[in-house]
Amino acid sequence: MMKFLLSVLIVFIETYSFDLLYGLFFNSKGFKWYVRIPILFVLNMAGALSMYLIGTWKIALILVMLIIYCKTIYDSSWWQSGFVSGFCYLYVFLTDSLFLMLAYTMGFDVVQDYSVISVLSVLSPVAYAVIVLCFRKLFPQRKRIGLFDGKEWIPFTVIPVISLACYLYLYNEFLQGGFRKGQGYAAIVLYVINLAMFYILLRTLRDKEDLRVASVKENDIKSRLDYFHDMQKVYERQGKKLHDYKNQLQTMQELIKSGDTDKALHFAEGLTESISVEMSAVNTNNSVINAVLNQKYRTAGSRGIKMIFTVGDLSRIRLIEEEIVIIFSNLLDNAIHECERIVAGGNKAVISVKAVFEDGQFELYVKNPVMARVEISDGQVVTAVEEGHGIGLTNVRDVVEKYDGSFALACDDKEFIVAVIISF
Amino acid sequence: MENYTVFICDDKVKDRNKVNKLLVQYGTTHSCTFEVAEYSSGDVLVCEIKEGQVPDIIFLDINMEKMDGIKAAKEIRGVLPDVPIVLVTAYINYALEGYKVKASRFLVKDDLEDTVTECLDSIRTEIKKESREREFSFVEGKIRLKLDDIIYVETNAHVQVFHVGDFTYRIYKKLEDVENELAPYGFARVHKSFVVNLKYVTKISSYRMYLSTGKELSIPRDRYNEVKSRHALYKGGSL
Repeated sequence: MMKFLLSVLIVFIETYSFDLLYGLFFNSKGFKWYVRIPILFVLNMAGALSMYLIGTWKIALILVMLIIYCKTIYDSSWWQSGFVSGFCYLYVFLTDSLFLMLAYTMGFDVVQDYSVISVLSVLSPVAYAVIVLCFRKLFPQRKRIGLFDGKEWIPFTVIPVISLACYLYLYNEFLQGGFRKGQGYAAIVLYVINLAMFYILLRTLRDKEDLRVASVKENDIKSRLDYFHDMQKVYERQGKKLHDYKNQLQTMQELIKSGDTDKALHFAEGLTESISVEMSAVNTNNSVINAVLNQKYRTAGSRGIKMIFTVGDLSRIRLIEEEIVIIFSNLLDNAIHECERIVAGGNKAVISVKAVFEDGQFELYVKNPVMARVEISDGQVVTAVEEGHGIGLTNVRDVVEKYDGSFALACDDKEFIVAVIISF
Repeated sequence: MENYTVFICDDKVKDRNKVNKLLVQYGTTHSCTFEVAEYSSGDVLVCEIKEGQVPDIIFLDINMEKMDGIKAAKEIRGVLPDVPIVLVTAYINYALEGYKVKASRFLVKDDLEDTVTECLDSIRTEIKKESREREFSFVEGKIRLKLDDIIYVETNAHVQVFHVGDFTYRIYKKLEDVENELAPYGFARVHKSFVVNLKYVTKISSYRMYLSTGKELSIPRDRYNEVKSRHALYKGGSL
């Protein structure tokens, strides 16, 4: 009975540690702790008990169960689930082995003395939990394991794999009775190296995330600067127009003085229409969206690119200013950039923009022609012409996913479309 | 060759002629023809439509005296809620007004030469979508259905049940085969037992799909992101 209760306690502590560790890397798919912890506990318990049936093969069984659990509960790929689950279990093994070898090195009877074994059995998972808690404290916002591509993971697997091989050798020595004190100290050093590597891994991920956030802010600042530059150009243009209108009004005055009222009237009508066209701007009842759309419209126009708008009343969309700028600026900049290449090739380019808000749902579609089909995989452009455009779309996707919205890309030989739908 | 009936309404002759000319140019390069009727005022156009004239496309100037294009579009929508209306104007600030009357497109006059091709391509695609039909060998017999009328297909034992308005039809086919057949036409497999016409989806949120008929379906977590993407692309006109 005591053995069973002890096993339950150990499995519970390990379950808690695994949950913390997974949470360090991934976002849950909406499963709360009171769903995750019991499921993980049952899996770990089943794994622990399976030793009586399949011996040391239980390691493989536990790993497989953890990988499936991670993939089901968290936003992760199979590869990411495998890596982090492997990490979790490896550190359990390393910690258990370390305590065992340390206790032996210090002269305790770790084979026959049940009380020693019991204390070690509890100390090890507690130590593991404390280490994980320390990492959580150091990295409270760490959630972006996806920032690494395949090759970037390789350096971080080398040390754990080598450590595992070393520990297996040392453990085997221990079982054969040939374990020496020096080897115990070597085990400590290896463990510390692994902890350091884990710290570097999390630190690298955090730095990558900080770089991404900085890139978003830089994007936002660039958009705002572009907006101010655009406003400056509008003011300069209006200044020139006012100067022209002054001349034209003087011309009208002369026509009226000379009695040629028909010509003066015709002149005035043309002038009124010209002013109206000049002053007209897209209006969505949302000042921030208006500013971005009109700025991009003028930018596109100055580069020979036409834009077609289908816009509704967007006064009630609940996005903050920064998010509006991120979504609209990035999508339209990408479209304008691609269209510039088409115009440079002597062809016409038209960007279609539809931005509407109905029944609590915001929808934005941007369609533009393309020089050639781009490859899209897993909701991302694989063949980004320049690094910046890939990051722009990633920033848009992050905003959309924050609201559990839909973000989709499609491309054929003629056109590229981005679709965004957010329900509020 | 496809033939479309187009009404052009603008109080300026030169602007009507411009649209006419662009239609002819488009027709030459896209193997279709346009039968054009011209109107110089919105109220005359509205009268014609109320008397039973049904065009395929309407080009409507906004800034007209007597009855402007927005008012005319509102009146036309009361009679023909689905006819594509292309609002044409010199001023882009009418875009919001255009959306309120469910205009298909809102084009600026100065840009017409460049934008009319995309506009007509889109409208022709929409018209073709609405008229797509297929014949199915149901248990009830061979029936030709408009694909747009199929709301969803549901598995019931070994039979697939097509929900078409208030009717249902049964077919002996695997749901995978039905999915493959209908996927190019805006249908998506949202569940192991359901293939849904994305046209009827109003909202997808928290792993649930809401149809305009009031039906709610749950979406498994492993299909959720893909279904959301397909729905977004469908609404964007890519599917």
